[in-house]
Parts: sequence; structure tokens; C-alpha cells
Amino acid sequence: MNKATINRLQTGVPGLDEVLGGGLPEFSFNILAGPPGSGKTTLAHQLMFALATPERPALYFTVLGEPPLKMLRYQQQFEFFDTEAVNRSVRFINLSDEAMAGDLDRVLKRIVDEVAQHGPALVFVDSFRSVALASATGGSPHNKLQQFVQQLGMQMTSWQATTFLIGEYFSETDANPVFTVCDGLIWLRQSVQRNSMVRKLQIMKMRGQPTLPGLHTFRISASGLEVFPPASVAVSRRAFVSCLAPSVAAVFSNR
Amino acid sequence: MAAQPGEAIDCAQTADLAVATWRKIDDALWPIIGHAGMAALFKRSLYLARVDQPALTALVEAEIAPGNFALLHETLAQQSSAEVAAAAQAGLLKTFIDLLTSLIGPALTERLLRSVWDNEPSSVETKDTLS
Repeated sequence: MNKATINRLQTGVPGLDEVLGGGLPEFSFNILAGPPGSGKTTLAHQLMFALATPERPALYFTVLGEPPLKMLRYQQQFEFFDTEAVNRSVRFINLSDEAMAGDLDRVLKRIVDEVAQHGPALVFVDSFRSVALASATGGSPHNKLQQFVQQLGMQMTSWQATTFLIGEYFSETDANPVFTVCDGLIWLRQSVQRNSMVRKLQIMKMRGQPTLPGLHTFRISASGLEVFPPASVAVSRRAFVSCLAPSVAAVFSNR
Repeated sequence: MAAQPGEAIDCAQTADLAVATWRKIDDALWPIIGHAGMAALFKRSLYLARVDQPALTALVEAEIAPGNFALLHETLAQQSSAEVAAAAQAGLLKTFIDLLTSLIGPALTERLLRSVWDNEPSSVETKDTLS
């Protein structure tokens, strides 16, 4: 019997496909998590502009938090931001009216309505935290949020949309039910060492993918994110030793 | 908003055309920036444009619900001449586009508002404000 074929989408982010173990599984439900300023929204935009086409468009839902005009103002500074793609292969949709009402059912309904109308191959929801905050005004927030995410995941998979939920302030140690629902969990971290910003990316989870474990350095430049996957250990070690003076190489060869 | 050559246009017609344009702009922008975001831009534009267009002064202090241009229509329709009403609308529109441009740049402003000028027979003047 033939088994389901999982297509891997090439993300367009240098180094990321390698870390992901060959790309991003189509129709997967992913979470991009990390603290403010860690590059979540930038990564989401970079993925979106790389993957979206008029035939396979993207919907980018903004909820609360960063005003859309500010987001557009800053994101267009990156080289991947294609103005002509906006309203053609990329569509931004603001859900602040629904979110401010504190009714997650309304937020979900609007998302599903827009997805039904536009038939996107890619869906982004930015940010998850603001969805969570909106739910907090409506009683039993934890259950509602879990229900929301489960419903969203189910709906988006049924609509064959590869989905990204962008979230901040997640605690890695939390038994967050959202992590169980998602297929992929990409964590971005940042720390200041002396006067440099050190950025690391970790694939905490990616169903069905032989991802590269551990923290992978990335940088953000005018062209967006660039991930530096580890070189193949064996090859790099041989190449490294062969470059050394014989006396020094002997030291490494004996290790 | 310009009338066809030789065609007389009164304040009420000018107000109709103005509101039709603002509805198109609202339709183009509110899905992206929200009703509140659109209302904030419109309010700020009224505030800035009133300096050169005193006809708009009364609108600055008014409570305007998002997406409701009835008060703008009323104000423009009450002007002493169609020229005054048209000048107020042109001034407000230019201010709005300049404001949006200052925030997201000319290319994205043009892209987001392209649907407003498409299929608009009398959009020569408004297009000029984008250039």
C-alpha cells in the first residue's frame, strides 16, 4: 500500500533546511517561539516571502501587540520583503477587533473564514501571546486557549495550509499543551556576550524530520536570517587536521 | 475627484465622490491595519490638513466612528462652493497619503491603495497626489 508523501518545503532561509533535516514538512503546524527581539517575526516574513506564490498564497494574521503599520515599516527594510507580492501572493489581515472582544471563537471563525476565502498554502498568526492575552479576559483561559490551538491546528491541516504560530514568552519548562498539538517547534534565543548579540536557534520538535539537534548560531542581516548548521564532524575534523603543521596535527590526531 | 470638463458639480456631488473614495480607502486598509488603525490615521490626517483647509476644522473635534464618513459628507456638502469642498477633500486625501507614506514608504503605500484607483474614472487628481 502506498504511504502518504510528505513534501518538504525549502524555506529560503540559508542553513535552516539543513538544520530542519531537509526542509519544512508541508501542512505542518509550527510554532516559532522566543523572547521579544529574537527574530520571530523576521523569520516568519522571510519564510512567507520565500514560499508564497500567487497560486500558493500566504495569509499573515496580526492579532494584537505590534501595530501592523510598524511591522510593515520595519520588515520592508529587509531585502526579502517584496512590495509587489503584497495583496497578490501575501495578504496581511488584522484581527484586533476580534481579539479585543476577548472571544477566541470569533478569532478562530475569522481565521477560518479568511482561509476559506483565499485558500492559502501558508498561514501565519502573529502573535500567539496576544491571542492568549485576549483569551484571558473570557474566563477559563487555559482551556479556551488549548481548545483554540487544537481547533486551529485541525482546521488549518484540513485546509492544507502549512501554519506558523508565532509566540513569545514561552517557558521551555512549561508543559504547555500547545507544544503537544504542534508538529514543529522552533525556538529562537538571544543573549548578550560582552558587547555582541549571540543568537541561537533550536529545533525542539519537528515531526517526521531528522533534524540536527542542539543550538545553532544564526545572524540577522539586511538579507534576513542566516543559520549556521554544524559542518559534518568527521569531514571537518579531517580537513582541520590536514591544515595543521605536523607537530600540532599529531596532538589532535591522538585525541 | 475632478469633474469632467464642462460639467457642473455641486457640493453634494463633491461630497459623494469624496466619501466614495474614502470608503474604497477604508476597504483597502482596514483589513490590514484594523478599524481602529484606519480611524487613527484618518483622525491624524484631519488634524494635519485643517491648517490649510479650515473647512475641516469642525471634524477634528468630532467623534467619528471607524468607517463612518457621514460627518465628512455633511461637512463637504455644506461648503460655500464645490471648489472649496473639492479643495478640502484634495487636501485631506493628500495629507492622508503623505502620512501613510511617511510610515510605510511610497512603494507599499501605492501597492496597498492600488485597488482604490483601479476602475475609478475620475481619479486623475488623486493619482497625482501619489506621484
